[in-house]
Amino acid sequence: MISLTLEGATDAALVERARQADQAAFAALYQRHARYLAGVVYRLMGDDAELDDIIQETFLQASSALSGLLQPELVRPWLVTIAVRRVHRHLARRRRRWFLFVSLAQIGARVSDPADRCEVDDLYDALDRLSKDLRVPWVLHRIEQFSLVEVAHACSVSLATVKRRIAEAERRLERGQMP
Amino acid sequence: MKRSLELAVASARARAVPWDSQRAERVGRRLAGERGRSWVTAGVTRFALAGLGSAALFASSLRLSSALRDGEPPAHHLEVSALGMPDSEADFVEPRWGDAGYDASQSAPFR
Repeated sequence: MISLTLEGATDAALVERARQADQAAFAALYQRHARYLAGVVYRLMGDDAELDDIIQETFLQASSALSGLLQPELVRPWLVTIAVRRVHRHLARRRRRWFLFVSLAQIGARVSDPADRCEVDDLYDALDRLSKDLRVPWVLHRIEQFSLVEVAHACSVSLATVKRRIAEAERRLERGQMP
Repeated sequence: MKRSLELAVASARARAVPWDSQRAERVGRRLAGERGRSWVTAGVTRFALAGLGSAALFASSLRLSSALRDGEPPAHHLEVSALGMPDSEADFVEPRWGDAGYDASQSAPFR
C-alpha cells in the first residue's frame, strides 16, 4: 500500500518525505532515477568499470544535500549535476592512471581481433585524449542529446563556455583525433 | 572523418546501458549500508559533542563533591584563600584593642 502511494507520488513529494528521513521515499527516488543516471554516466565514462561507484556516490551525496535542493520537482537534473561532478573526479583519477591504462589497452588490442573493435571504441579512445572539460559537455550534448542549457546546468558553467568547449571538442575529434 | 564521427556517435547512443534490476539492487544495498554508516557516524558525532558537554559538567561536579568529601575547600574557595583572605570563620581572628593593626574606627559602635 505504501509502495503504491510512493509509486504515484511526484518527485517533489518524494523529496519532501525523504527530507524527513523517510527511507522508503529515498528508495523510491533511487528506483526512479538510478537507471537514467546510469545511462548518462555510462556514456560519459565509455565503460561500466566505475558505474556502480559513481551511482552510489551520487545518491549518497544527494541524500546528505537533499535539504539544500531549492526546486524539488527538478530532482533529476540536480542528480545529473551531482553525477557529472562525480564523473569529473573519476575521469581525473583515471587520467592519473593513464599510463597503466594505455599499456593495458595496447596489450588488449594486440591480442584481440581488430575486427571486433567498433566505432564506439575508437570514439572513446579519442575522447580519452581530450580533457574532461571538453569531453563531458561534448558527450552530454552530442551523445546524450542534452540541450546546451541543460549541459551548462549539468556542468555548472556558463552557456558561452559550454558552446566554446563543445565546438573545441568537435573540432579536435574531426581534425583527426579519431583513430 | 566527419562521417565516421557521426557513425560513432550513433553507435554510442544505440549501446545498451549495462544496468539491470540485479545491478540496481546491488548498488541500492551498498548505498543503504553507506547511508546507514554515515547516519550512524553523524549520530555518534552529535552524541559525542553532547556527551562532551555533559561529561565536562559531570567531571566538574565530581571534583567538587570529592573535594568536599575529603574536607578540601572547593576550587573557588582556594582562589579566595590565595588572595590572602580568611577561608572560614574559624580562621578569622578579630583584632582586639591593643593588637597590632587594631583600628578603633573599624570597631562596631555597639561594643
